[in-house]
Amino acid sequence: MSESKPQYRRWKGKSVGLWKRRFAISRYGLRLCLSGKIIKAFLFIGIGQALFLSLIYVVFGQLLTPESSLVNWIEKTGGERAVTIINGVTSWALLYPEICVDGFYRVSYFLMRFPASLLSIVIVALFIHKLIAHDLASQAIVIYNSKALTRWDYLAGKFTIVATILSLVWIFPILSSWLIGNLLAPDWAFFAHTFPSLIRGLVVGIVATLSLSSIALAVSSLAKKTGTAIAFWILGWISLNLISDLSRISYSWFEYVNPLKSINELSEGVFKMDSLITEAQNSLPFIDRVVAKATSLQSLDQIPASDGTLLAPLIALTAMSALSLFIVHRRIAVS
Amino acid sequence: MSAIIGAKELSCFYGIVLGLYNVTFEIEPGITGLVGPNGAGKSTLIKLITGQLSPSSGALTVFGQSPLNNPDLLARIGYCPEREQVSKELKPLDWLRGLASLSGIPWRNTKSVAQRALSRAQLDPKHWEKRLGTYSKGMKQRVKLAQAIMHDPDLIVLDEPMNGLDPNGRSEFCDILKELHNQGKSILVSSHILHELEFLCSRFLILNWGRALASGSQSEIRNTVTEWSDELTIRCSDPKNLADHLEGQGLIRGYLVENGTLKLWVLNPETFFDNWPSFVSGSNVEIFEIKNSNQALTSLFDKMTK
Repeated sequence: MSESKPQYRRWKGKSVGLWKRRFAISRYGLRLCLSGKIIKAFLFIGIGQALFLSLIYVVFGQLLTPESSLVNWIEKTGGERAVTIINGVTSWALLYPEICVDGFYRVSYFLMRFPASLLSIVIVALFIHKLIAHDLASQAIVIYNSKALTRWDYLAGKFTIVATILSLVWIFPILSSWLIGNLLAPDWAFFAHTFPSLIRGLVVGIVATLSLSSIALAVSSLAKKTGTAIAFWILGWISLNLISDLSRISYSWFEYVNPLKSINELSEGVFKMDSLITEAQNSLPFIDRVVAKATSLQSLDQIPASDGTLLAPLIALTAMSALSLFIVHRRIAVS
Repeated sequence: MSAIIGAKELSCFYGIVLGLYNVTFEIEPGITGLVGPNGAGKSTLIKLITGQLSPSSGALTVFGQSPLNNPDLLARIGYCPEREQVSKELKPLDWLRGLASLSGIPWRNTKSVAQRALSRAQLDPKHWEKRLGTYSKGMKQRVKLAQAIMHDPDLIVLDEPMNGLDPNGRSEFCDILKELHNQGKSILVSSHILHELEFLCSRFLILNWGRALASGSQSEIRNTVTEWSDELTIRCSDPKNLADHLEGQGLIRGYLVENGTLKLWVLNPETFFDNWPSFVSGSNVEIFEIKNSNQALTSLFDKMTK
């Protein structure tokens, strides 16, 4: 048997509080979930999004600064034509900052949902089996349930793991790019002009993070084997996508069965891109021609207004999250 | 002595399936054996004690408090489950460190605490770097014991802890439990290996079909059983004559002569064993061997559950 048999000493030290114990679940789980190389690579793509957006905002800010080295470089290499364009852009920004500055941020945050959605599905697929499915398969959940934490604490700890990882895809790029872009902008007024876009981006990002986290936990808790959790996650999205497509020929509420479509619709409702384009059309007439050309339409008037409403997707996502958390709570209860 | 666990009219159902029904008992400090056949309600009771199930009716208290959603109380309880509830991909130290932090031990101290617990559970350090999935059942039992004792609980609950251990392992396991008891811990242990429980425990709680049949020390439980008798096998020169002689003195409930040996059921075992030479001396029968055929806890268990 053991050669070294130190005398068992009872733990006499100071115990950490309940919140630190709760935090221990998340920290321990995060270490486990982020242990793979592939998931780190995908997370780097998410962080790369933030860097890319930051770079665009910095370039945008520098373009609006007449004496900036970027403008000087363009003047030297591009000639008079480039100088005219830059002067035009600067003038528009000064005249209509709420459209040119805020609008630029708004468009980029609106478009960000596409890579974020795709990355979320892929990244969660890479670690979903290490959430609750792992504990259920090994039956270690019985031991966790007997520790000095409630079942809700366990659930909150697991939720924090998923939410933290997903926020690196949905929230971190928005926050960090907004901060870097504005800190390096030519004017502190940029903070004020872009603040509404930040709020819009955060609303969509937070709702997406919370709802997708709940759903990921539910899927993980439904699987009894770690391998089936990944299969459930991927097949689940394919099925939900098919069901939501049925909304075209069947009940319209089928569309909300797919959380990503609900997030899309919520995003349309929050960002109100149609009203931005209308404003731009009224203030900057050349936009009308550019967009019309791009969309092969005669006029912006023919672009259908977004039917994005806030209430229906919010209700759908809330209901789906509540159902997911209920399922998880039932699954982790010992029966 | 005040009870550490008390149940009053405690019932627990899984839908329409009975887990425990109207059970009332008290468990005092010390090592208590939880005895009962499969489906008796042992695991249900253990889950109730460790706060994993809520009673359907009645009340259960541990150290005077309800264990359900009570982290402060659960911090005083260590639980070693029956099945192999270990994370197979992890190494024991990693797993125990995570569990130690859930029990409120600061992270910087978890490594030393986990190492001490593994040493205390007598898991050879050369296995500490292997993944738990590669462990034998006995090694997993030791890791599970280590996680149950590492946060210094006042009550340790063990569900079939001897499963998968070889005789040496069982003996070592019993020694560890006795040592923990000597350090002031109370232990509730369920097992099917009754003779080891008898050796280990001072008190017992016998369950059957979701009901508590008896609780207390062996002699206290035996006193509650009417018509209790010990079974003796005697090899002698004249079995029939000896049986008649003992029956004439009103010492036995019945007898059976089989292949030259006498099997008899003694009415009052303690009196009989104290005075048996004088009881048999008048029979003029030559005695070659006397054997108590039934081990006390096993026969007591059989008597109560059949």
